[in-house]
Amino acid sequence: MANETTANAVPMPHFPPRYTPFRLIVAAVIAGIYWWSVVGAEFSPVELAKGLPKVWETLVLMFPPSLEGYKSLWVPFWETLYIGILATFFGSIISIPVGFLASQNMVPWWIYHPVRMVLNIFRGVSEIIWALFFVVAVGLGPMPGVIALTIFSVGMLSKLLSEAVEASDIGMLEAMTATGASRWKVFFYGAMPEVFPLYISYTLYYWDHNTRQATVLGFVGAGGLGVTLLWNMSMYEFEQATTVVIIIVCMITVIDRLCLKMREAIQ
Amino acid sequence: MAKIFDISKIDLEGIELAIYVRRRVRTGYAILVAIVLAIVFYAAYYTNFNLAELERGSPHIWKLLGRMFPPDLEPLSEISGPLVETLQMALVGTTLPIPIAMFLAFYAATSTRRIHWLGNLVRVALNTLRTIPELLWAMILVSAVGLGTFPGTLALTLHSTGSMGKFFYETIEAVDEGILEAMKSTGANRLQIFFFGILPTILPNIMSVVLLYWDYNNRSATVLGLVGAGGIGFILTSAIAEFEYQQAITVLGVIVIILTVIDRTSAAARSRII
Amino acid sequence: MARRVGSSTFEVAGGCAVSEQNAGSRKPKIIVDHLTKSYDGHIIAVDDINLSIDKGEYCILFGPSGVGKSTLMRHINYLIKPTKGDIVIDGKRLGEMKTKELLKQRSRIGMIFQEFNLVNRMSVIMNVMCGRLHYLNAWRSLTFSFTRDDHERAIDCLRRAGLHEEELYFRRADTLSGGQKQRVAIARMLIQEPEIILADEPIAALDVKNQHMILELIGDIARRDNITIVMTLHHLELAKKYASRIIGLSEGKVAFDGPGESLDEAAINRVFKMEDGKVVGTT
Ligand SMILES: Nc1ncnc2c1ncn2[C@@H]1O[C@H](COP(=O)(O)OP(=O)(O)OP(=O)(O)O)[C@@H](O)[C@H]1O
Ligand SMILES: [Mg+2]
Repeated sequence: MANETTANAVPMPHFPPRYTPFRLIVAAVIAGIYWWSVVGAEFSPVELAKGLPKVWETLVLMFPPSLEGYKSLWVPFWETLYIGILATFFGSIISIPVGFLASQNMVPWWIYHPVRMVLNIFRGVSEIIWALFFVVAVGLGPMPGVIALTIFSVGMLSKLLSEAVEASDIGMLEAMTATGASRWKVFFYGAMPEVFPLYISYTLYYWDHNTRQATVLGFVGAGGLGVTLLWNMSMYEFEQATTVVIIIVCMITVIDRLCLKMREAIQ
Repeated sequence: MAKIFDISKIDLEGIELAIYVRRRVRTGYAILVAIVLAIVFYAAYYTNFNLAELERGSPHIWKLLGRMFPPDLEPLSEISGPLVETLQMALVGTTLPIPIAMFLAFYAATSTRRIHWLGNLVRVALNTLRTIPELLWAMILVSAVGLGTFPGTLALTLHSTGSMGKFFYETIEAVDEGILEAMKSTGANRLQIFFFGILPTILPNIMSVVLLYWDYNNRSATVLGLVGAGGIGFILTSAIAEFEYQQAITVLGVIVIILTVIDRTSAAARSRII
Repeated sequence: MARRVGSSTFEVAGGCAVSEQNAGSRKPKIIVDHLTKSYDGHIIAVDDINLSIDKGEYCILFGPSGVGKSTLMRHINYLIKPTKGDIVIDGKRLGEMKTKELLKQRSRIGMIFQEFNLVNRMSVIMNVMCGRLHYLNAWRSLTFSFTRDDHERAIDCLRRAGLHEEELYFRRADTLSGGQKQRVAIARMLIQEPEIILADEPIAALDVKNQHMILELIGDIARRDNITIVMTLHHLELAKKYASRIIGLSEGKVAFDGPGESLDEAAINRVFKMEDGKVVGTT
């Protein structure tokens, strides 16, 4: 009772109206775009209802996985793993100097703007397209795959690194500058130690990512399990394909766990 | 660095100590670097990756680049349809997984799950969805339901559900126990705790990851056409496969510009959320 | 001691036309020559300041917050470039130096900060050795391997800064207490073998006991090697106790300049633009 009287005594603050015409219009536009996208993407419930049984049929075809000719999977398996390792290694090393050159608080604008532009291109083109390009240029095999993933990782890691460097404590950089250290030494000793855990965790993430992508680079002839998979699928050897997919799942899972452990060790 | 030596176990003075430590640290690093380099060298040997080969290939690369210019603007007229299709696929493939992933994460997270084995099962399912790249999903689905944007969208949805779901349950698990207990003490049920305790706490993280995956899916959607799953990828890859490099560079240019714009937009949105 | 605190210097510095008056007898260590700094074209942080600081002086800058003390200080080692005017050290204009010379000059100016600005994830001794970065060659820099000589100097400097526990040297810098951190920062400055020490509110984050300790330490070090000190300090009682010269800034200009003893309430009120003596004794 007492509460009620006080509640009545105090005038209620004026709440802004929830549904203003502006908000309604925005909501309608968003809903419209969304509906249009759903239609464009052919993602209607009808389509789903028609499609899912077919997916099921294919799944049935895919099981049980067949171990026939599993020995021939050995080489592409290692290839995939090594493509991921090499691309991540090169990418992480190259992205340190490039990340430095892309940091606003480290270099003048006429360096970091062009560098960022190039990084945008590195990132804007998908790994597969890079791989396709390098397959045409240097031939089939794992090498174009490594180059493609390296380029993409450099684009990503450098951008992430430069963002972390830009967010690092200005006082620390100032202290290093004040000792008479040159720009790159300031970067190395003032910024890198602080962003190092972040850099490692980004690198580990891209190891996972690169290995995952390495499994499909074979679709364009850039080595790894993708080549086998493409072959199996085109020959309708679904049961063998399942084996490859299971290998991929296991490989990425193990790498993911490994990354987790390493990240914990770094912290 | 700290784990390589244990300072309490040694009994040295000042400068001797410094030098001792320096040696130990250096040996530790040297071993680490040696291991990494050994792996890398073996990997390079196994995959026949050598810089000499790259050197030999580089004239080809330049020649290829030369043949891309000047860009042939002809495809501009015909790419608008597939381009829009690509963006639509990415939009649906990013938004549709949000509720699904959220729902599954609710069952997978250790702090919200009730049934232990179901939680583990969901985790395994999410992990499987995540580890299979979207292009591989697309290929499998195309062979199941035929060509078109439907398998492409479904592929993006499946992969994103796995990735987002994993991220969501990890974030839910990181939510402070105190919040949950405070909610519990008010007599809220599990669903209410989720909607009023957990969801508001993790909303910024969710938004930021969703924007990240929007970006990611836009890029992925540009190549799904390679396996016949719709979008601009078909035009692009066939242009490269048919050696129409001047057309390919035009399509690529458009893709890079659009992806950069989207990247900027989502980065701006992300910085406003956080 | 007496040589350093010649009272004639103050009148010269407090007045105008610095450079001509000093040209004859003794060359000043630092000349601030018509220094002006404006941010974004309209915020004027430092407004046409002229100062002349002799070798071995213990100068303390004070003034209300936001008056441009830190800005002035950061000009002395050119962390900030002036809009107009210049800094002259040992007769050389910093503005006319090439990058290499400037780095060389900076390596001879030690700086300590209110927030210590140690690199948290590096060990104490590494932090100290960072003061020698200017001399470290590229290969060693890339591999984070300082020389044996650097190690020896670092330990010597840590001891001079009053850190004797060797167990501390290899801990990560963020595990230290505030007073210890500031000592490490001082050691990092000492290893540079500075001719000038810049200190921007070095004691603001410390407790009373540590405040005295740090100021005394800096004073002792400076006296031993005849080092010039420029420091900003909010605590006027401490300033009076340790400084040989106090400079008050007000609205980007010098409003007081003289030895510690001559800093009376009227002068303080002038600097802080206060009517009564309320401001005295506050930090
Ligand atoms: N990077 C900057 N951009 C714009 N204005 C700045 C910048 N740095 C400083 N200023 C301005 O310059 C003026 C002087 O700043 P400064 O840091 O030198 O003050 P201060 O005397 O050191 O103050 P405090 O005692 O609080 O440390 C302030 O008005 C400040 O807002
Ligand atoms: Mg200041």
